Amino acid sequence: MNDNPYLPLKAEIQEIIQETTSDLDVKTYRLKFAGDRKMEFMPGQFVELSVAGTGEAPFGFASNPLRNDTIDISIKRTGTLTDVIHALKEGDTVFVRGPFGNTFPVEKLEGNDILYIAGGIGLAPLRPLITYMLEDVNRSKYKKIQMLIAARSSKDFIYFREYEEWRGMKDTEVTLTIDNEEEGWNENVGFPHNLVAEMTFDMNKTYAVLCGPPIMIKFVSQKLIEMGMSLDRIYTTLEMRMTCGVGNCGKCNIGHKYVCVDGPVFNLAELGEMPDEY
Amino acid sequence: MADPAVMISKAEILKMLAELMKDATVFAPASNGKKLDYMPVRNVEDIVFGDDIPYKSPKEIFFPRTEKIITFKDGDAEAEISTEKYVLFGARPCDLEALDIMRKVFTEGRFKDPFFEERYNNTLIIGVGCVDKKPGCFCDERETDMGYSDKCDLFLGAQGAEDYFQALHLSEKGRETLGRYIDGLRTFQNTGHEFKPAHTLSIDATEEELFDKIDWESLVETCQGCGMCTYICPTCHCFGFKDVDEGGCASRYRNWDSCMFPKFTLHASGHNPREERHERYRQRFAHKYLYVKKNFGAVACTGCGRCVRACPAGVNIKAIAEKIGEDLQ
Amino acid sequence: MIYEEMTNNIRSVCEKLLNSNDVEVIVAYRGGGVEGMQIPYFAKTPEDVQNIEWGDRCYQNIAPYVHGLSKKVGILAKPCDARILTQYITEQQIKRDDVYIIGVDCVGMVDENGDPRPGCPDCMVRKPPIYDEYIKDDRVDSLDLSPPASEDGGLEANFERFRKEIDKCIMCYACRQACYGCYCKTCFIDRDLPDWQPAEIDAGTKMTFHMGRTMHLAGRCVECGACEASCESGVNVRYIIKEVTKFIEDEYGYSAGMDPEQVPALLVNKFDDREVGFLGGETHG
Repeated sequence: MNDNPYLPLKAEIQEIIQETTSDLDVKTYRLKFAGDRKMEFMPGQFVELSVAGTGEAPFGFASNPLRNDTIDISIKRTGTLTDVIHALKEGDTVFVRGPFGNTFPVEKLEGNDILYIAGGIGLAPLRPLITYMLEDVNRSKYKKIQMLIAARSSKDFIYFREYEEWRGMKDTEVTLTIDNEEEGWNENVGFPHNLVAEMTFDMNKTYAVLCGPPIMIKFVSQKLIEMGMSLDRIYTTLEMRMTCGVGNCGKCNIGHKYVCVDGPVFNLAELGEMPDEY
Repeated sequence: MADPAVMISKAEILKMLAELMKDATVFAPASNGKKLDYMPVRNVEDIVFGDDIPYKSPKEIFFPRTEKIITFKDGDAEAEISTEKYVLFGARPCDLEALDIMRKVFTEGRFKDPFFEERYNNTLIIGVGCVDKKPGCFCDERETDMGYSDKCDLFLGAQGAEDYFQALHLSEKGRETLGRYIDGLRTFQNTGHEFKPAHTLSIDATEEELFDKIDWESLVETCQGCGMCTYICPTCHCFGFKDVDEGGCASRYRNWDSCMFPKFTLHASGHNPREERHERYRQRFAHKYLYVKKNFGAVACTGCGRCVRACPAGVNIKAIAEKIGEDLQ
Repeated sequence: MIYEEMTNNIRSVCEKLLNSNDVEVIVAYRGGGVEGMQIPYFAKTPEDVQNIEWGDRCYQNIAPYVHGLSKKVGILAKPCDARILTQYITEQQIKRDDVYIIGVDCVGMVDENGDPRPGCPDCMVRKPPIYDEYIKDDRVDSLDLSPPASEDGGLEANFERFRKEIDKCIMCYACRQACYGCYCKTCFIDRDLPDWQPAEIDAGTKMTFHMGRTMHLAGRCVECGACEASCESGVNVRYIIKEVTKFIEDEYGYSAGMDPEQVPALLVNKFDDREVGFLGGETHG
């Protein structure tokens, strides 16, 4: 990162990966910084990504922090800026500032089982943490890894090309679920909070990491708390209007904290101490 | 009070400012045609002395209302950092203390803001003390000494008889300026200056108490949400970006924004964390009286009274702070 | 003396009203503002009524408080407030039955120095056009009212004056927020589809904002002066809307906020409209 946190770096779109095949259009952009520069980051952090003349918005890193020749950013088409980004082609230029924000507590999580629960594009900000843990150099630091990945339909899964690889790893389980029955679908149907109740994990040796729609986070957290998990073992990542990324513009200010520098990663105990303004 | 102090006359000050004007933009209290403001002045005769405090704070010299910060040229991004030289003359102690809070926010957080910092470093700040409070001022309650502040390069004690000021230099830049422009300095026996705040207006509560124990809705029911308080406030510093394509060359502007507007926190999804007006007022109040204090060690309200005088609906932050103090008892 | 008597009358009306439970709150004024100004006040109990004050410093328009309120309210309405309420009724923003209007005559308001507040010297409406209860001020009958002189100085002089005024403007939007008529959920200047949001706050942006606002208030301005009074920077662009208001009166015979039964000029579509001011339309005069 340069001295000026407002000055973006130029990056080229090296590859565009179509993630979803439904109308919930999600694409992953593989970016390479000009002059072979690399952006060092850790799981949980985010960037401010812009297209010159259109605007800028925060997006979580979606790739393995240990392999940062390029970075991945997954983007769902939702508004003016994302419309423009979705119209870009390989070889086009975007601008990136970062990394910003805190990180998942990778060291604190060591020696524990990990339960990932992701809904839709909520898997994107978890992918750096998942891939970080699954790296050979790190895998032995974490015990059993369970992932519950939910999507609206079978066409809405992102990173589905990687699920088989993850499933093939030692002590790693991937459970998939969709909202409604579909022909040819052999995995689970139903909302994650119902499925969590059926999963087995040791409450005192497991950390849960959640990301997804607010309603999913709400119900899954409630279920985990009911099942006896303590608040400081449930982690999630907040979405706010993080305009500046440096804790000054005031838009992501909740209590004395700024989500862009003190977050976006919080556990539920930390969130409980903050005013309910997110 | 810092030492040594000297006495200089108004004529000498004007002469000094006229010299400074040669290679810097001098901002000083002057009329904008209707109101007193910190204006860029080209003629020292336009400078207004006396106790009338400019209607808005001098923050925009360092943090402009609108500012091009980035240009995207030839496929690359460049920062537009100001190298202009400024002089701020006549800043009141409340504004000086507020500016120092703003400096902390912009330069002592986890990141430095180079746009603010460069302007701040390139500005010679000359403060002037007040003799009388204006209706609405509550500096002493907010522990701001209207007679003195050391958050500047040069401070002029309130105008005395025969148009003389007690001048104190508080930085190398200030000392050097005095030495260069004022002939035959008369040293002045500093008699000391004691300041005793009337009573301290501060909120001693947790965030939880402030949210749960106060009936914000009825406390600020007459607030019209106009947000003017945030624009004229010397410590309000929220902003937003706006990118435009200006005929092939794209630019990013940084403009002031206000936490009093619903759009400030509105998510793309339509969700708004601070939907109601009283929630937004609570944010403004709590940010000043709690959050900045917690993060930077100073309450971000120096009692300048601008919002109290300007509010069309009579919302008075001092009265509100007092009421909250009572309600928390 | 006059104000004391009027205040007493107002208080007794309000007390009766709150005791009857016909309204949940009465929007009025109280003392206690900076420099002796009287400020908006919500009276909710019969005891609160003793705080209500009426005088020559009740400048702030309080009618906008009833916009969007879902409860039954009483309101102390000086003529410009009563015009605002009338306009809200014709624009279907409030229901006549949901407001109990205590109309009060007004000889004009003054600021902290005793100078007339913006809008007041030009005001031609000294009696509230609608009310449920009426508080009279005999002095209004002897006021010598004459319509304000046109401030149209010709295109170039107009533009020069406008440029000087907006030079002071810091685009804080206080005029918009203070204006009764600016109740759009999202103001055009805040819209991003299409994108009207300002990038650089320059003369062009300010002109877009002030002119856009003026056009949106065509035939709706009740000449309360809140835009100018609320401006801390001392900007006066009220003279422009004054001309627009006069134009609407001349061309369409409509004065905003005078008659709750009359349909606002902007809401009427006539095939024989001369379309003055529009491209291809006729010239005014």
